[in-house]
Amino acid sequence: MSSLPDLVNFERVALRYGRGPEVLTEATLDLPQGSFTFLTGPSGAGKSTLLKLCYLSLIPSRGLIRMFGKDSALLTNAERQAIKRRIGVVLQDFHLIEHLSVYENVALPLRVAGQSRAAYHTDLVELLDWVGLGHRLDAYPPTLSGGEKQRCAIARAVIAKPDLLIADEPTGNVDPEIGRRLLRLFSEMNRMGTTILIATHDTHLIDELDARVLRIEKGQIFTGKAI
Amino acid sequence: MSARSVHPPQEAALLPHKLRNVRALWVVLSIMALLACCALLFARGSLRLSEDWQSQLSDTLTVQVLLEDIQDWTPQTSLARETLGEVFPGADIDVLPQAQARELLQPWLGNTSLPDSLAVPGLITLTGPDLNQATAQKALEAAGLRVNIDDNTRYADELGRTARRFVSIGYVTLLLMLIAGLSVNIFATRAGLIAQKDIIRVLVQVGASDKFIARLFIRQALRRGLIGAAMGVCIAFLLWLGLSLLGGWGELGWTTLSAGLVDTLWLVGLGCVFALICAAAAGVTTIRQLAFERRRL
Repeated sequence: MSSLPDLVNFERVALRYGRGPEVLTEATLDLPQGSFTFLTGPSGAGKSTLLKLCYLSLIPSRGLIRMFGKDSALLTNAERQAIKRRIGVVLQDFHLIEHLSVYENVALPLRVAGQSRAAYHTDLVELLDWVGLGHRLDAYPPTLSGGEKQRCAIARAVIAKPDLLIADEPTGNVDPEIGRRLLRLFSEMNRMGTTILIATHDTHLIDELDARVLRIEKGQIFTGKAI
Repeated sequence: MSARSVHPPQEAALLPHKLRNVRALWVVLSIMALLACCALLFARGSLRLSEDWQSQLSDTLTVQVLLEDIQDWTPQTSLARETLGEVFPGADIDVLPQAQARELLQPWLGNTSLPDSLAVPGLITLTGPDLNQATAQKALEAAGLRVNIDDNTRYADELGRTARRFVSIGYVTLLLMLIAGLSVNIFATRAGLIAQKDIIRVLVQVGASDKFIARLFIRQALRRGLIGAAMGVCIAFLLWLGLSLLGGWGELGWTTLSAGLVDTLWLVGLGCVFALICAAAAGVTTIRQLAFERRRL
């Protein structure tokens, strides 16, 4: 068990959408700094909801969430934005901006952080080469295949070297070779100190790495792949 | 230039330039800017017209020489003319002939003819700079004449009041048009925020601050406002120029080059203010809307 402090800490967190039933009931979770965690569970179990809570897109109905050591309910706007800049997110539906090229989409976190284009241009082109999009820098999302969009979204999530990377089914739309390559990228990032949380159904992906596996079921979180 | 080249490509706009219905918005903003410009030109023209009228009136004195006997008409009007000539050497002095002075009374009497013995007052008009009613009165009384002097103050005051009303109407209309421009931009920004919510969601997700996002909308609104204002200012300029060249509008139009130049500078200033109002409306609306959305979470 790592002795490093937790980057993310959930204590008996519950969440319901509107007046509906609770999607999460008593979720308790900790992500130690530098850890690599897979989150698995059946469809509709609340994986995406849990991830949204992790990247501060939702506020829990009850319970306590600590992000980078701070109570998420007490964060000021500036603190919330600063924390978001330390998190890279890859979502199932990619969330690419359609009128921006692949290059521009990937550069977005760096632009928001105020970095100059000259400072990151080489790294960005290199990263896009590495994820296999080197030939599509000027292409626009509507012209990309599902796999290319996914790689673009992953490149955007990792370009700013986040402290925490959250990915929802990151290899769902790519062929096995690219999937393995992406996993190597995550693994390498983890080795460099990035905390990784990946939600996936893909048992092969989970088997590729000796990482912690959390299972979400009936609104609660358990350790291990399956009962 | 390809993004792959050694030199990084220029940063693309994060909000799309070509939005649906943007032309309709430009038309609305142009019309508002045009109406605001016309209101400004009307107010400034009214001010000029009033100043012109008042200056014309302040340069004129009308003296009535009151007579006991019609036989005194010629000697007393001549004496009054000489006295006034000494007091105001630079003024033009016109004595209305007796026959014309009698004609002026005719409308008050209908078909009845004036008796020949009626002592019609002598009428003298002075035109020139630095005329003073009190000085004229004193000099004429010292010469032994009984006179009434009208320096047109009452008429000038009435004109001034009327002109001020026109100027106020112009400025109130201008203010209303600017408020309308502000409201349209608030509405357009809200619509823009809804239309571009996917982009905003991504920006928020990568840690963009509210100010960063607001700046994008401010830039967009400033551009929109500048285009609308430029169109409005150009049309207003051409409209006023056309009216001035056609004539018949007096000082309401541009009778001198300097009036045209000063008004044009005012128009350019108003255009800039219009664009700034558009930008400010977008900025404030974006910040408030983002805060509102966050509270709704």
